[in-house]
Amino acid sequence: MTSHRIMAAAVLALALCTSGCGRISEVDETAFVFTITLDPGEQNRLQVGIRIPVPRLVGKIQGQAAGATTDPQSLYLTTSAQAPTIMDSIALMQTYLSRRISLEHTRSIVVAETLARADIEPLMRTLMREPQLRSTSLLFVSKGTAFRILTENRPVLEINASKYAELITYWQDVTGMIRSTQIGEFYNMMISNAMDGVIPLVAINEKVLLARKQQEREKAGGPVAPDPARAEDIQAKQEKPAPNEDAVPKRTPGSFLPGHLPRDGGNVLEFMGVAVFRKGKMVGELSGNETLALNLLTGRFKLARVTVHEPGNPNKLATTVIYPGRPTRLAVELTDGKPVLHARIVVDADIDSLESSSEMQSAVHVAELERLVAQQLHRWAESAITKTQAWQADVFGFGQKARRHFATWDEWEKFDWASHYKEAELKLEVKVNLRRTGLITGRVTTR
Amino acid sequence: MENANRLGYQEYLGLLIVSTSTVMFFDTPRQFFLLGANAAWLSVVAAVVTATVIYGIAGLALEQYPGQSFADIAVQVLGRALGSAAVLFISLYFAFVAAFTLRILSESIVTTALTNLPISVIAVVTLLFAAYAGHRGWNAIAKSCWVSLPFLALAAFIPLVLTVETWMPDILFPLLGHGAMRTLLSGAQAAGVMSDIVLAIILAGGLQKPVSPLKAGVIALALSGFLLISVVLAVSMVFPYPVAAQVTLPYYSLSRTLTIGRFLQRLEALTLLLWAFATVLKVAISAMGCVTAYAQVFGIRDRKPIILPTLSIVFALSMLPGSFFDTGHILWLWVRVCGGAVSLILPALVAVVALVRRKAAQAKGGPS
Repeated sequence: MTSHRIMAAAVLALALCTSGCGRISEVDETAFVFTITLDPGEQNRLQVGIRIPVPRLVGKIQGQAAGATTDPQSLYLTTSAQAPTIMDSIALMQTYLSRRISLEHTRSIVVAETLARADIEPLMRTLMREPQLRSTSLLFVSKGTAFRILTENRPVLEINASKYAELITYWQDVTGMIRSTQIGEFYNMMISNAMDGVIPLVAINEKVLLARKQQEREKAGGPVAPDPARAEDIQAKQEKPAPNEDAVPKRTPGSFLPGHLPRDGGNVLEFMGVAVFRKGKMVGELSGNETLALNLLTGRFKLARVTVHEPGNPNKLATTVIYPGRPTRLAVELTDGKPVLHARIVVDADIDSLESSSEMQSAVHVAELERLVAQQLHRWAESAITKTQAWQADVFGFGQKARRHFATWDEWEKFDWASHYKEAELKLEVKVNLRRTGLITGRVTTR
Repeated sequence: MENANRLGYQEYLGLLIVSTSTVMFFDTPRQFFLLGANAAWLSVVAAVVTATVIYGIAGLALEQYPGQSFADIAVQVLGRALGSAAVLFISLYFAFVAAFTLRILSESIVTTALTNLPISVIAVVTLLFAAYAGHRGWNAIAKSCWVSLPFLALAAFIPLVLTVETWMPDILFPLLGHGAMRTLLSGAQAAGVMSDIVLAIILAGGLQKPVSPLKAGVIALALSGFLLISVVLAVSMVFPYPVAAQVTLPYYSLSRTLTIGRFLQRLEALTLLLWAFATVLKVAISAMGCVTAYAQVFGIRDRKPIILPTLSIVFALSMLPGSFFDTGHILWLWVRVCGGAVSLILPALVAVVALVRRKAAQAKGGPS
């Protein structure tokens, strides 16, 4: 009986040891970093920026549900420090931040394009080795300075900037023009000799930023000044008559790169397209449309819209919603040691909008519309593959299929896939099956 | 007390499965990637098959000596000095396994969860459990193992099932890794990784009913081998080969990639508890394996007085390596591959010599 009491006491004592406070740090003494930015430093090798939420303010604002009236930047502590390595920079920040910096809740890491083009392999190794950081954190490449992404970001609909970045990447399922990349996933591709990685691009739309700053100045009581961009627009509109609708260039949304989207208002950040890497070095960019093709070819595609000219009525446009029909099939054939890349994409489509009232029940029109959508997708996919072949960066995973032709690792390594990928012949097939026409099928002729 | 402390078949089997399967949680999968490249799973198959064959030989031969402890058989066959030395080697092997498993458990917990905790604290708490388990005897340990089997299965299969979406079967190619011969031979040479199955032979004399240590051992090896192969295969399909060989704790890294939708993440906290618990049991089993083999050599009936000194030695041994890296290296190369191979081969050797002598004696018309 006594031994049982001793055991019970020992178990209770052990229970005390296992409850919370694992790292001997109190929650109200810890600063949880949400976002990290990496830029080349001027006074040192690396400039590391971090964004930490101020818990008492974030909690208060969320409780009041009045985020729109509060500047989201005031809810965060944003700082940067320059040091030789990421962890040195964090240590440097610890000399002036009262709370202990913790990377456990880091959701996004933004790398500046200049750094990405130099080589981010050492940085990725650091991030993967650090137990505090999770391999599921999201990676971005910023056009321009990464730290500005922190300072200029004001997500109106979200209080939580981390949630903003996370939500934006979820919508790759709706647009197909962006793609989320986790650190672990990118690291795997970077080390692999059969595939290369991509990281989504983010940029600040300077025009929107300028307009916002002007608005802020006006609100603060400054004199009203004409917005240079808007002034140009007004002048152009005054001088020229309303443009002929057919003469307006018809560019698909995905043909733009981030920072240049034709828009006004909203947050200044834009997520579009991906940066293509060969191992740790950024070698190029894919536009939104090419990213859609990338998602299609790698099986990450869920839904997108494709606009083409209407069959039989080239002045009007038809928009279709496309979604996966069959899993994309990639294969590599080796002919005399030279690879031939085979890709077969099958998507289903519904008509989203037709500008004219032409009859779409006709089999000829349906087939023509399917052909046009397929042609559009084919063009984007071909463009994406051809670009990456020139960069010797196989981001589609053809190498994963090519390795099936080898019996041993040494033979495969010796083959040097990157150099063969460059000269590979491409055989691409895109098939679109139009399934539904929406709630209106076409014109009803009454006599 | 001795009778009450005798093991039933299920507990015996549970004990063997826990003892042989915990290797999957630490750096053993990584070592197999170093041996077999992306075909590491083939090396594991070779290791498990080799261990099963060697154990099968020992088990088959020792079935001819029901009710006798391995130490008695070894002394009969090899003589007092050599027989005792053979069993003492196995005892020493278990002491090293306990010590280095204890150290790698402590290092892993410090690396992954409790970064500010001194390793000695984790080691001491684990050894306190081992001391209590030793005080209660094999029956209590074996029953704990039997009860913990479903949790061990959960620990093994949670990361496997929940990572299915991220599996890339293409990266299993080229199928033969460094070449069929090199991959299989290097795997066979690492058969010592399953050598904790020798415990089945050491404990064979202490079973409640006469059950076949051969059958239980082979089942335990098959199940543990299956778990290890499954983990290595899953790691192979999630981390491309060069990465898999770099990851310090592949099982832990695999469980860190688990996500269920947007909301359920960080499930490694759950698997950490499961593997830590299984490994604590493993340390207790190995330490008691050392005590039992030692007691058999010197005919010590009451093992309790030697439990604490043994655990003190285990603690001291565990603190010898300077780092996690050294611990992993020594545990794999010297304890598992070399020490394990000898521990696995010794009983087979003793059993075969015993059988040959018995046959020779029967041929001469002497006592069988």
